Amino acid sequence: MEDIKLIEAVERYISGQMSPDERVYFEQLRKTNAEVDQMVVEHTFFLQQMNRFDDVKNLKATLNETHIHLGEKGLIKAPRLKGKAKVVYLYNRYKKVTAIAASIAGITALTISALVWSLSPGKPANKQDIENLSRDIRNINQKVSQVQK
Amino acid sequence: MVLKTDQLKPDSSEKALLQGLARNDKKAVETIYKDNYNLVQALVVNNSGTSDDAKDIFQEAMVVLYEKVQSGTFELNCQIKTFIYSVSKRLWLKRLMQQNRFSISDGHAESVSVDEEMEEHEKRDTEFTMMERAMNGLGEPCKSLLEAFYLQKKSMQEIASSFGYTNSENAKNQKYKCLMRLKKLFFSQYKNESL
Repeated sequence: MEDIKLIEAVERYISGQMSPDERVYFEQLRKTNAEVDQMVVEHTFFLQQMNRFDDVKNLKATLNETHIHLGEKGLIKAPRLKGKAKVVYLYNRYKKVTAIAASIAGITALTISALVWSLSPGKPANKQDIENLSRDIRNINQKVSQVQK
Repeated sequence: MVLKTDQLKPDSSEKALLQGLARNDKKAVETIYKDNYNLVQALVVNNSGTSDDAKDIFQEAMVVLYEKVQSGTFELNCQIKTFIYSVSKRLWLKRLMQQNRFSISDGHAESVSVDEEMEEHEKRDTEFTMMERAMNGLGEPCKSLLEAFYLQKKSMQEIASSFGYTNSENAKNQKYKCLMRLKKLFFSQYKNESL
């Protein structure tokens, strides 16, 4: 059997994913083949090592978070964070809130600008229009002053 | 409603805390931390340690307690406080001995013998360091690939698509190569260690 196939079989055997027939066959193989037997023992040990490593790593992360958190709340006598470390702590702690606030602000800004845009008159007056308008006003003024005379 | 008297005993709530710790439950960890940290910090600081040393020692004692409850027994033969204090004392004494100091003055807190636990912890701590070194020596994407399969229990299909392999068969081959490398890195340290 190829090694990659064998490891796969060993893993299915360890995790109990084999069918009863397959299991009986594999157990027979273990009994007759010392190499396969050794591989099961070694691989079981190795997977256990990997899982333990991961568990303790995760616990250590929880412990560090807890230490900082309880220290900041004053629930243990640990010295509080200063300077940059404090900013990092606050950033991590309020990251979510900040992100939500920022996206609400963003959406509001977009909504308002959309409203303003849709409610404002379509085209701003161009230069030509303004000149025409001021010529009209001049004409009116002239007419008014003629009437007044 | 009749309340059973043993529900009011402190050891039943301690048991719940230990069960929580075994699951790495944040609330349980926080409660044990809050209730025991100051005692350990006082011990370390009064014996020429800093608050950083106290943090290290306390957290290591928590790992020892975790290892103990991982075996499935949630009953200590003493209170959590006594256990953590006793382990911390041993751990701190060991550090002091490395600096040629052989005694420790403790308050009047109760302590118990933790010889067995310390022996087991030393073995596990060595194994932890060896796995850490092996994992770090592995490099990417091998490390993430193995973590995804063996620790996060993702399927080969999921892994293939998230890592960008064209099919799960290729991802499987790569995973196998990575696993062989990791095992080699891990077990080679074992040989050095036992010599």
